Amino acid sequence: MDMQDKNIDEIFRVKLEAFEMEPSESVWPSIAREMAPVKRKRSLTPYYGVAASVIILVSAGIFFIPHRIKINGERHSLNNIAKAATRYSFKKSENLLKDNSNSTTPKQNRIAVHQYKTVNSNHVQKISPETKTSDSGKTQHPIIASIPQREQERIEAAVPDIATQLSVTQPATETTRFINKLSLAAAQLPYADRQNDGFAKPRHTIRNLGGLINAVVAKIDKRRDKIIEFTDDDDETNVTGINLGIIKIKKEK
Amino acid sequence: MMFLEHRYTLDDLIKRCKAGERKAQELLYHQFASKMLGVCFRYAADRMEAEDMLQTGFIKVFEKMGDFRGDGSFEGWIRRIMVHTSIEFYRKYRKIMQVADIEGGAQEQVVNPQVADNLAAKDLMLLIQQLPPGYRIVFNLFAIEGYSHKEIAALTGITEGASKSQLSRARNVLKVQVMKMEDKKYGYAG
Repeated sequence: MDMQDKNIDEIFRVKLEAFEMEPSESVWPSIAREMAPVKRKRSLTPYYGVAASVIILVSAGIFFIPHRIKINGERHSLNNIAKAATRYSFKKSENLLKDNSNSTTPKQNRIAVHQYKTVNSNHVQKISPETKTSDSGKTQHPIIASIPQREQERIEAAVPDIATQLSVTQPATETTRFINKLSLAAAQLPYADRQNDGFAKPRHTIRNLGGLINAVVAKIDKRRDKIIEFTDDDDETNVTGINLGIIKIKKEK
Repeated sequence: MMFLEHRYTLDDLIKRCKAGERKAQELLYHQFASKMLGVCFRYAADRMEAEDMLQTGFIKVFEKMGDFRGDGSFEGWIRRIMVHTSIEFYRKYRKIMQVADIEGGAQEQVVNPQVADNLAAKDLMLLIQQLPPGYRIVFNLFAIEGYSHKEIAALTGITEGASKSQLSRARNVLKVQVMKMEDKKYGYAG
């Protein structure tokens, strides 16, 4: 049996081991076509790498390199800006008072001292004797605030001189708002807009890129916890909070 | 070293194929296509199926070209890929191949080797192609490629017993067919 099996195996092996057949012409084009996409795919791979590298570098630049924002081509320190804002607010207040004193009659013996107090109490003390003397001497025009149309509130003067009936009527409309703006400007504004010589609106301080991103995010995201929040220290920019709806991370200040 | 063109050796061609050069791949294909189609044809039911196997096999050859270290013959390496590819085409016959009723009372057939020598290769090829897929694969692997039953079992996923059974049946069928061809050729019944 073994002999016979080997015989039949041998017959087929000898005859067919080296058997050759010419394939159809269409086989090679099919192979080339099937291999083409593989080659194209490979050629794209380096570009994905380059794109990923660029994204990583740009992200690293944004998050880790500290930035300072220049205003009008020069750097402003916070102290200088605050001083400038304070000077500016007093100048405006004095002008306003002078204007009012010219336009009102002496009978209206009401002085807008209260407003001065809200800005700077020292300044109020400086002014008070002046108004006192002018009031008692009656030789000069007293500094009198004008309340042109309506009186809404009556506020006691900061100077406790009852004899002169020194009192202040605060106009709740224009003057109060104006002074409040001044106070806010002195307290919060990082710079005074010298070119426009007007009042800057109170807003968040932007000291670095984190602050800038915070400001932009605040415009878009109205939630209490923003989608992303940064510290706005001068030293560095760090993420302090992330709010992705389900996931909330917030560093306590 | 075999010269494919007047200035390219097989080693050069392999190197260029590894670099993905399309022209070199085409030259390599034309160098081995006929031989490899001969291999695939033994495992296939017809020419079309054999060409499908050849196409798939050559794509694998080019994709795995980097794995060829030059340890053995390159032709042997390509041939193994073609055989494996051809077997994958017949995975679906695996259940059929598992049937193992060996020693099923097959009749002993006596084939005269000298007479068989006169049979044309293409006639023998036809006989193999007419075998059921399971028989055909095992007979090809054992008798022509020289694999052991253990290797066949590992390669095809059938047991060694099933491999032996398939081989035995394939041999019996082929013996009968060869004898019939001899009878037809020489006009006598043996």
